This record gives sequence, structure tokens and C-alpha cells, in this order.
Amino acid sequence: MARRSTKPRELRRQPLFTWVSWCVLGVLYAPIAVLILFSFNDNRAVMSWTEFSLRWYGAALENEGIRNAAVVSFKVAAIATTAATIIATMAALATSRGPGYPGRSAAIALINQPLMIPEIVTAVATLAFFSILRQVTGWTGLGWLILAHTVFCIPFAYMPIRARLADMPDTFEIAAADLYATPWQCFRHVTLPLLMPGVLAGAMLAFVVSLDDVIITLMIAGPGETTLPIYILGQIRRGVTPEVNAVSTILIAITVLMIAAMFTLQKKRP
Amino acid sequence: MIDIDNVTKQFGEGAAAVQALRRVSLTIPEASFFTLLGPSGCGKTTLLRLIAGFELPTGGDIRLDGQSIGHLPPHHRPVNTVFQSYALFPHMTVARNIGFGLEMQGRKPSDVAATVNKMLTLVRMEEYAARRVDQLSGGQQQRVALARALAPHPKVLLLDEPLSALDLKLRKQMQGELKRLQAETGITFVFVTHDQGEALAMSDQIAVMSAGEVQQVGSPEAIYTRPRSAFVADFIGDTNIVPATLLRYEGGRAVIRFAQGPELCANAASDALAAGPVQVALRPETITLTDAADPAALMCGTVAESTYQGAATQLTVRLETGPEIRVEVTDPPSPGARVGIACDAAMLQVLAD
Amino acid sequence: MAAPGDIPQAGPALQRAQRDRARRRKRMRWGLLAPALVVIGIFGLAPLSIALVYSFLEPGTYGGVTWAFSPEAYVQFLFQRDIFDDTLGFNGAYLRIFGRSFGLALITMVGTLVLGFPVAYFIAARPEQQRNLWLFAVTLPFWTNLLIRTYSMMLIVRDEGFLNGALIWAGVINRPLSIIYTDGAVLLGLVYSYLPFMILPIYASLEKFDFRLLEAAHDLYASRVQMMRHVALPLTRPGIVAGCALVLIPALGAYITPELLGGGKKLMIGNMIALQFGSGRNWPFGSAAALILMSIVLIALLVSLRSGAKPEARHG
Repeated sequence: MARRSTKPRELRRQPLFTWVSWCVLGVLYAPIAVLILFSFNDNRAVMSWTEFSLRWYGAALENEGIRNAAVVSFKVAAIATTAATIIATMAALATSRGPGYPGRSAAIALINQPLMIPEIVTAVATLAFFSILRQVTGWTGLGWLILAHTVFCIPFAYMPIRARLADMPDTFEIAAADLYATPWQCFRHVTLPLLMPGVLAGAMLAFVVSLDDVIITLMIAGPGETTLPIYILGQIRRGVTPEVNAVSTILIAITVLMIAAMFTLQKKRP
Repeated sequence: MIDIDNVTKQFGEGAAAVQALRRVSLTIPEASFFTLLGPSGCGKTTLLRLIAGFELPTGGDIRLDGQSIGHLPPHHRPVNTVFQSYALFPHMTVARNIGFGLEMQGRKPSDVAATVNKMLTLVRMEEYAARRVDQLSGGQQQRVALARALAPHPKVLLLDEPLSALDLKLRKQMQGELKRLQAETGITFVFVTHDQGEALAMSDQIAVMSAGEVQQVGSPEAIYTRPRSAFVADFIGDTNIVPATLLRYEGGRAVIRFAQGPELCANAASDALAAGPVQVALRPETITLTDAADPAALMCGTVAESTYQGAATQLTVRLETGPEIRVEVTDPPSPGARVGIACDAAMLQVLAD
Repeated sequence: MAAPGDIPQAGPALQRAQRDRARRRKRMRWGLLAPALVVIGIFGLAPLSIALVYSFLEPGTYGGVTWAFSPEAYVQFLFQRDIFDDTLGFNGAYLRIFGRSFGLALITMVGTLVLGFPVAYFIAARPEQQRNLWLFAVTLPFWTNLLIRTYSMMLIVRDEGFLNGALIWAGVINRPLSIIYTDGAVLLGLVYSYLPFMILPIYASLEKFDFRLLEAAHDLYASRVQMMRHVALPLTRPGIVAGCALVLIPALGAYITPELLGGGKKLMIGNMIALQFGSGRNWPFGSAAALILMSIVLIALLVSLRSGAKPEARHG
């Protein structure tokens, strides 16, 4: 049998596409790489390299403003993530187990609502809403910001949890019920442990999204509720200080770790 | 003893309603190996799920030792299941899987451990206790699934096509294993399968199901040699269904006549058939070939096709009356030969429908 | 034989169990959904209604609103009221901002498509083990902070930035190019920010693509370009439509990118809206603009759904 000169593997390849891909990858990472690199630069003039130093990390750690912002950021992210993950897990259980029912697609659409509206619209609308609620209730404090974060974290936490549930056959739960597990025992000993990678992935996603939010926080945060991104934005507007590079690098590191962990968790199939 | 009393299961409502089971009534004797046999979609798995409690019947009742259980949730029924996919919990070890039911029943940890060990021995998996289930082969998973379902010592063990995922050799081996476990534990096994060979080999009793109804219940031998209907005769093994004429009943047996030959006293699935044309089941291996002119020949025809099958040769004989029948013989005549068909009358079964 | 529809009476215990099971399932389902529906229903939907109400009120002097009905916010969008004689004259300023935003968002969409399709194709054509790594590499920047990414882009394109430095060092130019604070810089930032949004859905539809179809096309004398044009492109249409929607929507409402790379001078809708709630002190007008933006986005979303972009949404 005569072989054709072009093998299937080679047929797939589009040399131009390969070239574009590597360039795109380079362009995606180059700015971040430059940022990280210069966070270790001893020089105050950001763009000329003198020598390696951890000086700006030290300065950032000693900076009161940055420390406060970090505390606010993590407090908001931790509470919003916990709340959003619990709510999203419950919603995912209700929307992906058992036969379909009227109202399910409407419920799913509502849960995904925060993803479908431009962030700036959500931000100003929430500002308007909260300004009324703040007036009516007289309450101030971090609670409002946490609440706003919880709302947009829910759909992000929901996605991986629902995906995991969809991949999980319900025979495990049926088998547990067959083996004398009450519905609660079944959830506690079978559903939840099997769902855990999805729940963790959802929590990490929510945490990252909360930690990185700028626009909604910018609109809603009251005085003294500056988060890290808001602090960074202020610094950038005022003119760059090298501490920002250091803080940004730390934030990038946290995100990368979380997302890498999430990817690994999601690859484990039930 | 399980009493299935007029059990009906309907899925959906109104025009979209599908009746998966229609007034099924069965009695499954204590400590027996009972098989629900039928093609896919016949309702056998639905019946199993109703006994287990995964679904509730639409009407009718299920009783276990005289007590109604049809309304109970699965975790309140002394019934355990071996699933087709095994459904072993992937996040637990073999031992925890086996002990799960006992743990849920709130048994003492020492009791659980002792029973788990006993079960591991029973299914010959002692050295695998600490393994994760995804490190096991299909056959080993099967054994763990069995042990897990047997550990709480249920009154009834339900098996949903548990052997279908195994290769042929392993399947044969597990058939024997299942028989042994049933005998050793004395638990009632209700086994669901679409494989008639498996059903014949393992069961004390078989219920043949089709289209949501039970067609026939009986011992493997009774089902095989005395099928009630054309469906059962056809589903269980290879059968020829040949038209004949019913003349009369005589001492509980039917007197029939084929296209030619003498009057015969055949078994009858029903004693209330009207005289006239009937269907008769005739197993290929019970037929003997004779000379076409032999007065004992019930019908005659010509050999149309011959297929060598090792131990025997399968012939297709075109009858002079039109239809073709299959015959299994050891020394086949050559194709084109004219032959007579003879058969022991005791092997003939007049079908009811 | 039982006729269809002939169902024996269920006993009282069974009837109760049937009712209980259905009721428990329903109660469980809505109980589990309740927190999500309440939280998003109240804090996701109510703000939009409040914005709608605000858009028909008069602005307060120091921000906020005065509770008096006025359609002024929507009038202001197209017309300018003369301070002296109160007559309306056409004012295209806001319309121009919307137009600019649309233009930039559309060019961003095309740009990300031109760059994103080859990348998605390249990843899908990789051997399986390499695909996840590439996917991870492409999504990682997308999860890192948008603000930080935009800021890092500033470091590159500033007058004394990395790019100018490199070009001068290489002798290509001898005076720094002014890139930052131009439309070009904003565009660069938008493409950079939203490229992963284009790659992922296209990859998702290419992942299922049967590359043997290319062999078939090749067999029928198609060139590489023809293979892309007639085989790969049409089959990845749903991914492309989804990607376009996913890029267009956030690009239209972009805030950080034009703020930082456009220097706050080259306004887009997002900045204009934010401005009204800040120093502009015109909440009704800001609300109106936000609602108009949202309507445009929802229409775009509906159009993309119609094109069969998200089959996922249907089986829900």
C-alpha cells in the first residue's frame, strides 16, 4: 500500500499558528515577568536594574497602609469565600441531583446573574442600593463589602462544584442508602467527601476572585476599608513606588498557587 | 420469603406515562437463588429497584416475611444490593467499604472489624483489606461489592447484572462463586440478568419477564423444557416453533398431529386450548433425522444449509410445508438431501400463546 | 393481562410514603436553593431595580439623589440644556463615548479572535499530555489580578518603559515613542486582558474536533488554508461566537484599562459611569448610562445564545 507523504500528525500542524502561539504566550507573560523581575531591583528608578535585593519587600511589610489593606483583603476574601462556597455547594446539590423540575433553569440563570452583567454596572447599582440600606439601617462597617463580594463569588464557586457533581454518578449515594445510611449520613460520608475536590476548587476560585476585585470594591468600600488592589490602584495613580511591585508579586504568587492547586484538584476524576 | 403482590410501576404522567411493571405478582422463596430474566427494558431492573426501595411502586405491595416493606426508604429495608457498576466508594479502602453498612447501623467498631474480616475471608480477599478500590481488578471489585452487600447479613441480596462487566472466563468462575456464597450464607439471592445461559446455570427458580409482565416462573428445567409461550421458548435457548393441529386432550396431555406422521401425545402449556391449529416448540437437539419415508417422521424437507459447530453440526431444513427449522446432529447428511424429522413426543411442548 | 392505565390501589402506607417522598424532595431542593436565590435575588437584582428608579430622579447636590421624578438623565444623554434659556440642543459627547467604547471593544474582539484562534487550534492539536499544561499556561494570567496585569503593561509601554528602552538600545529609534495614554495603548491593554476569554471557548469546541476530517479534506486536495477556511472554522463556530461574547461584554464595560493606559483622558463607558458616581455627582445620569450599557450587553448575550453558542445553558 502506498503511503502518502504527509502524515496525519503533520497535517494538523499549521506552522503559522505555532509561531503565533509562542508569541502570544510570550506577550502574556512578558509584562508580568518584567514586573516580578523589577520587584527584586534595588533601584528606586524602576526601569534601570542595579542589583538584586529584597528591599522593597521589606519596605512593603513595614508599610502600615499595605499591612492594613492586606488584613482587610484577607478578611473580606476569607469570609466571602466561606459563605459563597457553602451557598454554592447547596445550590449545586439542588440543581444537579435528581430529575429536572420546573424552575431549575431559572434558578441556574439567577445564580449566574452576576457573571452576565458588566462589573461596572453591578458596582454602581450596588452602591446605589447600599447607600439606601446604609441610611435606613444606620449600619456601617466591613459587612457591606463582604456581602457584595459574597454575591459575585457565588457563581465562581458554583461552577467547579456543579461540574464535579455532574461527573459524579448518583449510584454511590444510592449504594449508601442501600447500606442503611440515613440521608444525612449519606451526605456526610459519601456525597461530601466525593464532592470535596470540587468544593475546594470552588473555594479557591472564589478566594482569588474576591482578592483581585477592584471595581466593585472601589465603589462600595467605605473609609478605612481599603483592600490591597485598591491600595495598589491609589499608588499607581499617584505615581509608582517600587513597593507596589513587591505587593503585586506577592498577590500574583498567591493567585498562581491557588489556581495551580485548583487545576490539580479538578483533574482528579471521581 | 418475598411476596410481590400486584406491583405496578408507572413513570411519568398522563400521555407521557410509561408502565414499566404491570400488576406483577411473584413469590420468591426463602433462601433460594431466584433469577429475574428478560431482555433489556422488560422491567426486571425496575422490579429490583422497587424491592431495594430506590423507587416506590405506583400500586400494589411488596412483603418480606409477611411484613409490608413497599413503602419503606432503602435504609430501613433489610435488603442489600450488588450494583452493575459495583458503586464501591472510591474514597474508602476495601475494608471500610465492606464495613460501611455495619457502621451506618451503629454497630460497635470491634463487631464491624470482626465481620469485615469474616467477609474478606468469605470472598477470598484477605490481603486486600487496606487497598484502595481503584487499585483492584474488575473481578476483585466484584468480590468486594459482594462482601459489602453481604456484611450486614441482609434477608435478601439483590444482584443487578453483576457479571456483565467481566470477561467470559471470569464470569464463569464468578457464577460458581455466587452459587457457593448463596449456599453458604443461606440468604435469598435475587439475581437480574438478560443472559439466559447464566440464569439456567445458577438459579433455583427463574421468572422470565417481558414488557413489564412476568411470562413464566419455574425451575430452569421447567422453563427450558416446558416453555409456556413462544416468547419464553424463543428467549431461552434455540427453538423451532412449528405449526401443528390440536385434536383433543387426553389425560392432561394434548394429542396433536403435524403435517404428516402419527398422532402424538405432547406436553401442553395450557389445558384449555381450542382444537385446531397450535404452535409447538421443538428444541433442535431433541430432533432426530430419519428417512423421509419413515412412518415415524412427523414432517419432511430438504437440507438447505449445514454449519459445522464442533461437537455438533447445525442443519437448516426447509420443510415441504414452507417454514425452515434448525436441527442439531452429529452425522449430518449433505445439503440437498431429503430427510424426515422425528422427535420423542415427551420433548414436544404445545405453547399457550 | 393488565391493560395500560390499569393500576391497583396503593395501600395507605404506600400512599403516605409516595406523598412524603415527593414532598421531602421538593422541600430539600428549595431549601438548598434558598440561600443562593435570596442572596443573589436581593443583592444582585434589587440593586438593578434601584438603579432603574434612580435613573428617573434628580441628582442630589453632593451625590446621591433627590426624590423627585425627572426624565432628565435620559434627555441629557443626547441633548444639552442651555443654561440661559432652557432650550435643548443636540449634544453628541456621550454618544461619542459610547461609540468610542463600541469601536474599541469591537476591535478588541477582532484582535483577540485573530490571535486567539491560532492559539486555541495549536493547543487542541497538541498531544493530549501537553494540552493541559498549555491550557494552564494560557489561563493563569487570566486569573491574576487584572489591575496588576494592566499595571505591568504600563511598565512596558511607558515613555521610559521597557519597550522604548529596548527599542532605543537596539538603535531602532532614538527618542521614546509615546504609546501610553493613546487609544492604541488602551487597545493593547484590552486585547492583553481578554485574550484568554477568546482562547478558552474556541479550544473547548476544537477539543471535540475530529482532526481526521483534515485528512479527509487533504485527501480531497484542500490546501492548509482551505482546510482551515472550510473545515476547522465552520465547525468551531459555537466556540467563536461564545468567545466573541465573552470578550465584547467586559471590554465594553472596561474600567481599569482605559483608566490606567488611557490616562483617564480617553474615556470609555465604564469610566464615564464611575465618574458620575464620583466627582460628577450625577447619580441619576450614571444609573441611566449603566442601565443602557447593561441592556446593550444583554442584547449581545441573547444574540450569541441564539447563534447556538452555549448549548450548556440549555440542559442547565
